[in-house]
Amino acid sequence: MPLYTRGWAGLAALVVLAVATALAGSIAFAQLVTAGGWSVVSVLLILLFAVLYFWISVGFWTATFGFVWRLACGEPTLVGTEKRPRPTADTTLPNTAIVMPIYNEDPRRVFANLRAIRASLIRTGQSHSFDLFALSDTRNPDTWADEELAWARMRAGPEGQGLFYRRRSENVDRKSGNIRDFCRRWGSGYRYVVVLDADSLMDGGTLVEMVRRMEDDPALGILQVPPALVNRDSFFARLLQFSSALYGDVFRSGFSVWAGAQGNYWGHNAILRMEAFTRCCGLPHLPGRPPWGGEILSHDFVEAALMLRQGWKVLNASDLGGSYEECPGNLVDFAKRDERWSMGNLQHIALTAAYGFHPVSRFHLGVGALSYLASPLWALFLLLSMVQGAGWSLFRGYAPAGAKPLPGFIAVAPLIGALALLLLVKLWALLIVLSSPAAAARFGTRTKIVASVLLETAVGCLLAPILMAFHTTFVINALTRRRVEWEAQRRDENTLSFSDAFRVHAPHTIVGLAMALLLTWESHGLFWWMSPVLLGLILSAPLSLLMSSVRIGRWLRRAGILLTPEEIAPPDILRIHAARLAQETAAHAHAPHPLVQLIADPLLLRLHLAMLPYRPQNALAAASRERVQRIVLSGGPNRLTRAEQLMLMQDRDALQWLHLRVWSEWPTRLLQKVARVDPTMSSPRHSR
Amino acid sequence: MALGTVSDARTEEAVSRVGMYLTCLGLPANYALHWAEQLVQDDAMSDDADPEDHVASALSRVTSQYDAWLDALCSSRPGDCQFCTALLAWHLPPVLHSHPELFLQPDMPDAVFRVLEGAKCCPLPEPAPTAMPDQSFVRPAAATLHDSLWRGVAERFASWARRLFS
Repeated sequence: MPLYTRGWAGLAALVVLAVATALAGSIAFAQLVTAGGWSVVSVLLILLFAVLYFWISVGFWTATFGFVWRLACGEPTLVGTEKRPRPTADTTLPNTAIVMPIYNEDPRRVFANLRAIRASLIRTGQSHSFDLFALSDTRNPDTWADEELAWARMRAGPEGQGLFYRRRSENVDRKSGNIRDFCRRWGSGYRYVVVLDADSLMDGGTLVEMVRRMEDDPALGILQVPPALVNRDSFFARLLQFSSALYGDVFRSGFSVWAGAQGNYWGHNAILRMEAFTRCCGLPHLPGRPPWGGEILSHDFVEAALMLRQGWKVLNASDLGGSYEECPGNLVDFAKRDERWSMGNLQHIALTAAYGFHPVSRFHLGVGALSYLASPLWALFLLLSMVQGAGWSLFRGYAPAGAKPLPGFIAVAPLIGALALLLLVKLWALLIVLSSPAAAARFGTRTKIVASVLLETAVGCLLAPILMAFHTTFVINALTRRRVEWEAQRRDENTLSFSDAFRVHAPHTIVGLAMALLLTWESHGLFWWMSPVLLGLILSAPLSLLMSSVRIGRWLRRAGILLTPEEIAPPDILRIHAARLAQETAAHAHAPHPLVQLIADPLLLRLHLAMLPYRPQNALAAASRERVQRIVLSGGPNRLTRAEQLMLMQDRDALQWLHLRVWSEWPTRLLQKVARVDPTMSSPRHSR
Repeated sequence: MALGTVSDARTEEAVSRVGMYLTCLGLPANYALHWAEQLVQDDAMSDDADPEDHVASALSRVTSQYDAWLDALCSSRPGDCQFCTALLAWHLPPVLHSHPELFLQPDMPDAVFRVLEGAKCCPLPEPAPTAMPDQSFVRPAAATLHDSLWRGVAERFASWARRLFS
């Protein structure tokens, strides 16, 4: 019988173990740091150590639960669900919507993903039960036009059935508002909704299985399928892909064990029960000013908590594959994404006290916030260590007379213990993989797997202080109410430029050098103890540059290092996706400006006008309209500002007028290029 | 004016353009030319405007008729009209190519839908508002305290920094 936990017994076990570990470590650390007597600094150090030790203990015990579970039961098993008789393979599935909210994304990639998903669904024979929705909040006019063109192209092909596109004219409440709008307008037609991100890919078989599991268990509100990271070639991205694939297994299994039916939702690659979602998950605005008040920035954790609050189950399907997403290709893009997420998670601190939340939900919210707060706490810990250890004259008043500096080398149990907790997690994952030839073969040869782990660990040690610096900055920005703007995530893979790398990492380098100089002057022992941190900070710019390299990433791949199962044996969905992306890229390569196509092509214009909201759409004032029309006719829409292009695309009269003038005045050759004209009609003297 | 008697080159250019336009809508070339000539001739007989204006005027009549036709098709079937119109516009060209006579038939909606049957043009149900209530799960006091706490921290931090560096 599978082991799974009900209620919050699993959480209680985790917390007890983590607290006990943190307590043991903190007591040992306290004995060390108060060897020369108590002081304000030593008390602060002990408190910080306790919190940080608790934080890494949670990760350690989660992975240990997963390790023990895998040893006992073999392959990961879904826990927390009731087994019922399953529908037969040819049972018609209920209507399910697959929604992809998009915001200024590359339409080639978006529609390549949608086409791949549809092609994969067709192979299951259940494609008719699924409708695909591209829900756009795009503000960039070129991208908006491109999206409509890509949608029209896809609709015309064999994968175009059941594909819908909608662009909101007002971006109310961002992604959560986008999905809410979908639910209000069309939710009643679907029993389930699968939410994807713009870079998400899901295998058709997995989607069908997700629906079947929802049908199996009427109490299941959300089923989250953890995505694997794929499709990136840079050194940084391959490192993330490898560590996610290798270590993710034990973490996901462990999470399933202690969370059970009180799992979490990550906002994508998950299926939701429509009725439950619409009844339970309306999100309010928080009291207070943004960013701490106002709209809830990270909606996913809160929606999971609201589901659990009403008694629905939230499961994480650690046993299901076929779920994929992409990761940022370099450290700077990773940090930008983290900046958006950090404010959303910090905002959740207020919600840990919300009415009626399950204790596990409160824990999820708290841990999410701590994942970003841990960095400034660690930075403060390092700073106070320098104060305590170096005995700066500036802070002499805070240190008791006769206080001894910290030992010059690390031979102290609590600090070694902390390192052990971090490294044992990797060892658990490695043992699981190396324990069976089949499991090891998924990652390559045993020697190269070990080499990859060593490389990942070494690089990770250098990256950790850089991420600490980034997160500390994000928390300070949040405290000083510097608003996070939700830019569209850059999903293409670009090697960083020298100027970008050095500009972004200059503060980290300066801080690292300053710390190194001070420690060299005050405490050589502490200098060596903190050398990994100092090295990471000082080398942040060249390291970031090196890790953004696609060439190095591909070289490592050819050498068999950092390989993932998806790279060794690419699943069908990834092969289909690669083909569709190539087709979308080819279709886009020599296409005219999207706005020109929209204005000139009769069908595309009709499509666009039909998609505008019903209220009268004349976004341009009369005087502006004439000027804009004149500019477009004489030089093309490229000569308009972005704001003017956006207004033009929402102005029916202006577009229709331009359409007729273009057909009256432009040369036939140009019309053939931009509108899909029958070639036999190209000449005034044609056969009849 | 009969077929084949259009002699002015610019008028012929106008006919060609209108014909091209009609083929973009899906009509076969011969039908498109025939109607293009009729449209341009009708316009040329009504005033002495420039042939370029004949093109614009003829196209304006075409687009008005086409749009009214789409609206009639859409309103004859239940569903989400925004998608319906858009998808009909996309599905019609092949229909018009094989059945060009439909373009002028008064009982257009039913005839077209007979041909379009199975094309899944209006699959969406009538939009029915679903319940998305605001959840008053937030403890206002906790959230307000949370906001003011961070605001207090930030303001104290900023004030301290100003004193330190002033």
